[in-house]
Amino acid sequence: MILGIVIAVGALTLAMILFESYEETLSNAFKVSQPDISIINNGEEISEYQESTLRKILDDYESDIKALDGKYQISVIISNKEFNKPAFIESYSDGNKDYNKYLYSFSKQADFHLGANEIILGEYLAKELQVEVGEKVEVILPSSIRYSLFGLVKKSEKFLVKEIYKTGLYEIDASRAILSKDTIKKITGNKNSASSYSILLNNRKNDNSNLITSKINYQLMMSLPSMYAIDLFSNNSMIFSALSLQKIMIFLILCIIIIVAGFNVISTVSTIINEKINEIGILMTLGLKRREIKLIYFVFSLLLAHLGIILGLLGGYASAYWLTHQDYISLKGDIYFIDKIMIHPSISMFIIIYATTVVIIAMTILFTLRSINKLEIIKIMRQ
Amino acid sequence: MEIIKLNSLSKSYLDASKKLSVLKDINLSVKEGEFVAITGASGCGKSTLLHLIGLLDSPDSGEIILAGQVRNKITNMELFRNKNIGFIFQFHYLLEDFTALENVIIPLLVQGYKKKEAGKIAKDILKTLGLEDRINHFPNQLSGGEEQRIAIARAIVTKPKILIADEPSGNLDDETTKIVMDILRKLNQEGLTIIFVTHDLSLVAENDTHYTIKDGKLTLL
Repeated sequence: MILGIVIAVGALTLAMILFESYEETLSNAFKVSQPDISIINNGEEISEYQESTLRKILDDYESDIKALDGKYQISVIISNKEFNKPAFIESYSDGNKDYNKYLYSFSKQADFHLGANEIILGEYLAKELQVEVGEKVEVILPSSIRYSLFGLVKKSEKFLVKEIYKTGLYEIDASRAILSKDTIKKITGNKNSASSYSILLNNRKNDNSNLITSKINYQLMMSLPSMYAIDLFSNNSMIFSALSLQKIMIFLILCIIIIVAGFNVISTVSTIINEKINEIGILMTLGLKRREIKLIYFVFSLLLAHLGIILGLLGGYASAYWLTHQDYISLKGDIYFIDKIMIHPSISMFIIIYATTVVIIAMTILFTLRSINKLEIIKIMRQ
Repeated sequence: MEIIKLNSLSKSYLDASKKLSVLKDINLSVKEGEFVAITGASGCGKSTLLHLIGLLDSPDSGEIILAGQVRNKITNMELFRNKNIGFIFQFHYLLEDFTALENVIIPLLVQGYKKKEAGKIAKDILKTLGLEDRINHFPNQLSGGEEQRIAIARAIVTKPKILIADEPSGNLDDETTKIVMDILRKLNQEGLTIIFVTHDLSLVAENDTHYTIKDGKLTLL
């Protein structure tokens, strides 16, 4: 009986911790790789007038905003002679310490100056290009590639890899490179136009960014109708909705395993009743009511089941801990967005698993103990 | 004063869809402090009669009056049984997971005694029966005679008015049987009404009210 419960509760705990940890790790990876709120100009660059108006609007949220910056983004091909990788380049917010610290999670200093011939690469992008800090890569603008009488003509520049960052989000770390704003302006010939505005908030909770986004959108609708704000979670809502749904489904499926373990409980409690039938009979002759006898066996069986539940919870947690700390098996970042799960078990999840299991097991015990109602003292004593 | 009164009691069982009359029109009157011995062949209905007196079974017809209360009018049968009737059987039926002391205090706990108080009463009873050095032993650590004596202690710990003994010496050797019978006689001398069922006529004493059951009828010998 205990082993069945340990396995069922262990499997449920393991699955739920992994799912919850995956959701949390993914959410954190989004947070360290993307701003809380992005303001976009319908796919076009932001004009000087729009930028000054936007700045005025954002002044109202000064207390909520930790850092903000106009983003310059371009699509490029990065090459190290042997390998070519499509990537997008984002502008580095020079001197904006908070912004860089939160968004790029640099392992070293977060506010260093990025020179005109220097580039920062995502970890997987660097790996795929097989370059390290101190080596050079070539950045090619795809729009500049042309065929001429003299062969392929392309506009490209070489940059020194100054730093390699890791946000944990594979998609970003495998495709994002960072150049200084001036460098981007220079290679694109752009004078002063950001592609979007990125905002980091002091309170990075989902509800807060949602609320502020709604307020900003209302003001944008009044003064800059072509622009809109979108928060991090709304931008990735599909992923998080799918994850939540999957987590619920897994929970329900694994609850069926606990119900199966419940059948094991029925069998064990039935055996206990059969083995102790004479004791039940004598307790009845001593004046105990059936209700009281059922209570004794209910408490006894539930205590026994508790041992299984606690061992299952601990076993599930230990397995999840091992799985998230081992180096033998890793997630495929291109499929699961992240390649490593950081364990994030919540107390509420343990309480939900514990309560669900106790309810299911208690119901199976009560169901089995109904047989005591049918026992007749005389028949027991005659056995 | 009459402590047990049975009027026109009948009981039958269905045996392979055939009605088998075990007890027919039984009348019995037992006075307080009486030692009643009931003998008869195996399967004659001795135990059935004890079960009816002990409120473990219900009659098909007739009336049972115990300690002045009519069976059908007793509202809390379990508590009435706990307070008024003690049982000892051929097998001791001690709870194997409990010590001798714990087995004896169970009826007191059912009555609502605190464990400490119940323990004190149970220890006194066990001491009376010469089992003071066995209180913390489990049943499997005791001899057959000791187990039966603990069963007696459990049966009398609530100071019941009636003790029902269903072949209590059936599993015991002669020496232990004598010890158990001596205890029962002593309890009877102290005023306890005892209904004693046996098929061993040598255990019936001259002063006992001796009944026998034959063909479902109870006859005073």
